[in-house]
Amino acid sequence: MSEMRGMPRLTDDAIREALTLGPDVRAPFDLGGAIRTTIDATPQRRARPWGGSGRSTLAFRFVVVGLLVLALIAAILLIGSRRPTPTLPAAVSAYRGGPERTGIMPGPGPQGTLASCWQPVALKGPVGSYAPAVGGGIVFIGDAAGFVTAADEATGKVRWQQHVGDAVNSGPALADGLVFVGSDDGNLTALAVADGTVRWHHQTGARVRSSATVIDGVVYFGSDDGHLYALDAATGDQRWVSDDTGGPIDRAVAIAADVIYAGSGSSTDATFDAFDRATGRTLWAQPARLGPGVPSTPAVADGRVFVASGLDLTSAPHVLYALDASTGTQIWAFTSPNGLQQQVTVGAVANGIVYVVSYDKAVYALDVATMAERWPAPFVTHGALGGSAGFVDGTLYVGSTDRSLYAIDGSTGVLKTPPYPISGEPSGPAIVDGRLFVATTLGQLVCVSGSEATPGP
Amino acid sequence: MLGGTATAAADDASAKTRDRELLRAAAAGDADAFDVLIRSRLDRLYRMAMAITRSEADARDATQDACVLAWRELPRLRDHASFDAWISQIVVNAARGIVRRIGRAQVREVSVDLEPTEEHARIEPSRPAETDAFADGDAIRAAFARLDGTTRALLVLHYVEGRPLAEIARATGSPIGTVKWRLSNARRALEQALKAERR
Repeated sequence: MSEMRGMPRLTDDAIREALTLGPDVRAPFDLGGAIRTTIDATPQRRARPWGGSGRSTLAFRFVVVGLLVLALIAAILLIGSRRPTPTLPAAVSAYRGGPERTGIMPGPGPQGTLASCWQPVALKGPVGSYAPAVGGGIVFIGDAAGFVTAADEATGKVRWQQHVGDAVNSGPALADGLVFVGSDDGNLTALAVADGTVRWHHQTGARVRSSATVIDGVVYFGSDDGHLYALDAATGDQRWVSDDTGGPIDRAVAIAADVIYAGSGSSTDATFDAFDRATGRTLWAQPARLGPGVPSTPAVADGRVFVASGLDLTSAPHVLYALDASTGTQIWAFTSPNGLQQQVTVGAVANGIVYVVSYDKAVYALDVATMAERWPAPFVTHGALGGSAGFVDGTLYVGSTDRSLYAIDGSTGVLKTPPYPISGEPSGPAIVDGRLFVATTLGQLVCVSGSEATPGP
Repeated sequence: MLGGTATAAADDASAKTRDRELLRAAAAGDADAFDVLIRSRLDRLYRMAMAITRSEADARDATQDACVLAWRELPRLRDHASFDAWISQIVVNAARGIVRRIGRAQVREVSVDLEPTEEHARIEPSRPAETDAFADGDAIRAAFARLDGTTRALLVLHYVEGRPLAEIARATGSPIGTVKWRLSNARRALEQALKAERR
């Protein structure tokens, strides 16, 4: 790191020296005894019967595998003979509203002054910048403690909480009676929406922070192992896996017109590519490299795909690109008027306007075709804006790190109702049935409705 | 000198043999054997937890949780030669989990809006040169405390423990390229946290 005025120099030696503990740091004298007391009361798990070696174990394995194959065939026959699982209508089926990631929500949105509709639900852990999904009268969200929570949309009553493994840092996707979540242990997990039962896991080579989406019975997502995955939603079987993109696919992919758009991070030059939805084959690679950092979740609308560069790096140049969705050719590029270091990313795209949210605390409304500013002035909050927004009925809903939720007129940029205070920094929203749902960094699921009558689900 | 080296090698071989026997017994349910194994490693494991959590209470909890988990799962460990790497990884995971659970870290990013404003730059007092060395260490430690558990663990494994990238990759189940990428991000996160700390 280059030396800055007033900044300590950050060299390898400086890090090593600062983080290495002194020789006097030792385990407390009673820790060994405390551990012993606990293990005396803790039974061991039995070793797997096939854990040993030798011919008998090999024969045992064959028997076990044979029985498993027979059980699998029986299960497939049984499942095939049963009626399909009833599917619940998915209102907000995926992060930023659906595969195109435009942020357009089914709505309607809250009517009147924003107000709480039920007591916040305590999650098992904090939630980052992704967003809940809503379907069949249930709100779903994963958290950093590795749990997925399902809460009743109308009352907030927790239906179930299921542990899926390591931290969940991606938004859930809904389809065909299942909820799909990626987790930091590299798994994509499918759970039954009815009771949270785990239906299947699919292990990738690294963490899955790319929020999934489902089209025609196939679930699509990226992994930090650099690959895109397409899995059969019902069984978890792999349909295809893309070639290595060269860096982690850390954010959600967008899909429109059978094309998947995905950004791949890099400490030097990130890439942004388009893939064939049916085969995973690369259709085009963005010719202009994006510089260091992680590309944002793209959004596709009006024949254009919008993607921002430099996420997760404060020092990287932050640019929002509008590209031709068919060729990847750059149409325009936007940076914050407050400097290249201010992160910019897509909040939502609706009615020919791309709503850009920025760490400089402002929302910009840009013409999709020309990049001209459509509001007389940007809408400025008191905190950085880094997550997604929701658009419904001409209103843009944006959560800010100033711990407020703003409802802004999408045409004029004027605040429509007083900001609604949120305890903790809000995630992206999901908006349906007159209610808006966000989760927070303090581990709560929050429901916001309006002071006027709320229609039923 | 040669004699000293030979003696050390013999001691090492003897310790390995002893550990193998203890591991076999512990995996068969002998709590006394596990107790001996753990006590000889307790300081090292605790220091690793302490390096990540930066809290005596949290390091204690992480070490204890990890040792109990190791006891429970030991019968399933097939390669006893990897015991030290295995239990170290359990401690790292426990420490990461505690940092995450107590919510000290942000979930995805170190901080937002970290760039010092011109106003901040103007009022930032210059520090005397003779205090720089101390300021560096304190500032880095304070910045480290702002990071999430996974980032802390990566920095500790690489910079403090000196683990090779291949070993970190094996431990985390990630390709080496991904580990390099994450380390680069971890270092940048530390730089960002350092800037925020200085505001």
